[in-house]
Amino acid sequence: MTLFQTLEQYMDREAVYADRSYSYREMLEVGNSICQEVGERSLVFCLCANRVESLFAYIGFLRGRVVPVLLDADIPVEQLQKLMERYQPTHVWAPETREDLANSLDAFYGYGGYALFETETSVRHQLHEELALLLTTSGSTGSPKLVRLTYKNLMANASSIIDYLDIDQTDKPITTLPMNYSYGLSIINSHLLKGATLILTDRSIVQKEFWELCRAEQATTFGGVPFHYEMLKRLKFETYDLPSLKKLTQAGGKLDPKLAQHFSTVCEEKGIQFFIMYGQTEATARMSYLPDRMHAKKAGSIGIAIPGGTLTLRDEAGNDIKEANVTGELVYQGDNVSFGYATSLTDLSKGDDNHGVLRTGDMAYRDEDGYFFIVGRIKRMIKLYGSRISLDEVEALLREHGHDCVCAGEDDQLYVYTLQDDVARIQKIIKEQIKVKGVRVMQIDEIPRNAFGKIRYAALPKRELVTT
Amino acid sequence: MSTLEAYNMAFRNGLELEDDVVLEEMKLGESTEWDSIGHMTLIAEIEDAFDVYIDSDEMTEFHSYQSGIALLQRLGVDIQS
Repeated sequence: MTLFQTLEQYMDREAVYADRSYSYREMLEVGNSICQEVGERSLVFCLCANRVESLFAYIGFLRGRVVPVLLDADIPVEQLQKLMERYQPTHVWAPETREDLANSLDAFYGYGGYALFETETSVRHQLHEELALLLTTSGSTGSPKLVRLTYKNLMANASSIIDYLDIDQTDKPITTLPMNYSYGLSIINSHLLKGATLILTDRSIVQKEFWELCRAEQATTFGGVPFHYEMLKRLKFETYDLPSLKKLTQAGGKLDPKLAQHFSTVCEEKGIQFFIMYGQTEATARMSYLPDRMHAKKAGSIGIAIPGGTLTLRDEAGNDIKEANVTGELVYQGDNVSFGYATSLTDLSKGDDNHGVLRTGDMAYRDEDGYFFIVGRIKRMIKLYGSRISLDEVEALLREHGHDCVCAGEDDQLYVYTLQDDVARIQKIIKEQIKVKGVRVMQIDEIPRNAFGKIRYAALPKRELVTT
Repeated sequence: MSTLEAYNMAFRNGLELEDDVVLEEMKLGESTEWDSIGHMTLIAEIEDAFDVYIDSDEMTEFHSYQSGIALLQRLGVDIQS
């Protein structure tokens, strides 16, 4: 079974609004023809923007059993090169304006502003028969680690989301997240499977055009990571008159409790349902949700497992924790748990490493009513504007460019420490390679270490000490 | 420092721009540095630099180097070199 085989039932309905209306028929026809150019069980790179070109190709690839790696359309040249060398895609579906591709590869097929670049790789991919899609884990550090998702994973998670968000064909999401990001993709998948209409836009919520489109096309829902909600607060979302809006979702990191409180109140007043959710790309997208109207009672909670999944807690010895209010590692079980990672071409033929069980790396407890609360992370990971970043990977990337640094931070705050006088060069690398903002690079005199030589991250300064 | 210099500095700091970037060509959503995250930092920089408050309508109408100057003019700040 593949995904999107059932979309034919919606043929004459509107699938997408993006400058004009596109029917499911048109979407499927375009998708099929792109896919036919590639051929079954090939590996392709699909460079994504919130545009019909990348969406239709994605739908076509999934229906035609071509396996796409979804990447950002603006992925830095060097990172794309590295990934192409490692995974040897047969084709790259990308904006025809990308000079790095247009100058080196031939393209014989195009649609809209996109071209199908042929790599002429000699590799014949041995893809596992259930493998459907590959997503990057953090997207930003250019780590070549991919998450292997199956048709079953995608179907299970989309069905579950449809269930708990009660999605039907009258829903009309407007895009606020990249489609190559698991959260953004999960919104697309779950709505198309129900025959709903997507409003595709590359505009962001700080632009007037976004809200004009939202109003004109009567969007009913959108999702946001914590940063979106900070912006919405700043934009005085509570004063907006958007009668069509019925459902807001939040994921991609923990929402500040004050913001959560603010938006649960605002949404209740406006008759908008508000869902706080939790997930990881390793579980396709979603693992838990806090039902609407539970915010006051369960403030700060990630809620309960999504339909079809179970959440449990494990102690250090690996035993299940049965008691309430005891902290352990959060473990998720369900059909949406990916096969595992790929770090090489040969990994693409591998089967299921996870067997439906995902150790999340998050520490949590469960209250008496069965609601889960996250208290910390085991791994050195932070979320920057919804995107997961491994601090170790940032250090490795900087080391590759010749800078020995230590990274620390918390959600939406990344600190880079160097002993050398290379702050400006480090900032440049971070800007070009990781493309994140608000990173503070600091030169310090010494890395604080304990008696065993381990770095004392907590002792690192948060602000530069002003010396005169 | 003139108001124009202060405005330019708010732009360079807020959007973390290199020195060779032509400010007059910057456009929200088109220039890679000026995305929604950059926009919020830029707004904060400008508010601090000129001690003004930019409200939500103004925020969504501010989309280019020039429109920022016009916005500040409305808020009573004359941008001059």
